[in-house]
Amino acid sequence: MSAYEIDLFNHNLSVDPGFRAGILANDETAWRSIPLTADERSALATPDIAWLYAHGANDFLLHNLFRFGVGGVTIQDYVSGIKRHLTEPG
Amino acid sequence: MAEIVAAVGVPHTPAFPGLVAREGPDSETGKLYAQVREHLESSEAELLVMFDSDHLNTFFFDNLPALSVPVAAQAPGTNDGTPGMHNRSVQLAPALGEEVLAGLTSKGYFPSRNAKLSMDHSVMVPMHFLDPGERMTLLPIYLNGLAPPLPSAERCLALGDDVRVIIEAWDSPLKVALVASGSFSLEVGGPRIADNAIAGVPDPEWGTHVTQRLRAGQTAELVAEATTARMRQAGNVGGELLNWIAVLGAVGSRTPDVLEQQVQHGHSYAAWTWS
Repeated sequence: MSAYEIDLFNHNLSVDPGFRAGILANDETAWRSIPLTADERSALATPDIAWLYAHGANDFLLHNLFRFGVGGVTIQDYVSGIKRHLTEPG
Repeated sequence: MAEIVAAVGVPHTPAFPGLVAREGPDSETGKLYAQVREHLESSEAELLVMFDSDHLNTFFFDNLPALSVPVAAQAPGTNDGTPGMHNRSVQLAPALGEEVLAGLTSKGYFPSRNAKLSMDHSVMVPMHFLDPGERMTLLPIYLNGLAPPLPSAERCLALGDDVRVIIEAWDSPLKVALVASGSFSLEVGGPRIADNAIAGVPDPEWGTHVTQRLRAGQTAELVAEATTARMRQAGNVGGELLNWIAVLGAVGSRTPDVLEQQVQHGHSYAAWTWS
């Protein structure tokens, strides 16, 4: 497992409109273009912001998941996920 | 020889083009950018040398430079889906890029050469507001302000002065203005965002403190305070202050003619006259 692939996913969301469209359409080719583990893919698709942050994802790049509406993430979901470690030690 | 005629500093908030389009040029933000733009226009600047921190769009972790100088003839922007922007190809300054690359390397810096790039909102939002007529040429100089380890403030201050010397020795009739792009306190996407927004200003007092240092011309004091830890305490993009410090290295003892703060956004607008 590497945060690099998670960060690459979030980077590509920003700079690659074709990749972004594919992910938002749940296109398998787009998903398979980055070698993600099953856990990483699940966390990105949901998206599970707390899990991604806890596993080393760059916080600035994470905001692209909200910016482009991956998984229909709301601002409330994003905020509670990114701040969760502040209230739940460990 | 080329002549430096002005220096300015502005934020690059990606929501601002859309905001000013909706609220009009008489909105607070519209008027602040206009103040700086008018200063640039009165200086008759033709080429902007912009110190900027890419937001992991132009560069990525596969190869992330601390300092990079483009030598491309043009570059498209924005590359990051920023709303409300007129995407276009911007004319760059490869001849000056080569001068800066060689000059900095000879002075002991280690800049990367960038011959093909696209630019994100951190460059294009300032261009949108400062050069709406799209007549200016641009040389962005990229400093890593987002992903530690960050360059030191001391090194960035020296960098700005060295870039000034290189520009002033450049055999060109162009009038040049320096631009600092960025905020002083801002968190984007990280744990210190607001409770109802994707960004936040975790340390507005730092933004006010930096602005007071700028107003008083207290560059040495600001550089001593601007450690990586202090800038990161002000937000995960707090390192954008390094772009302002680089411009201060060229500005020297001048104090700004224009200095306006938007406390709620963690940033300021500034302009210095060169004469």
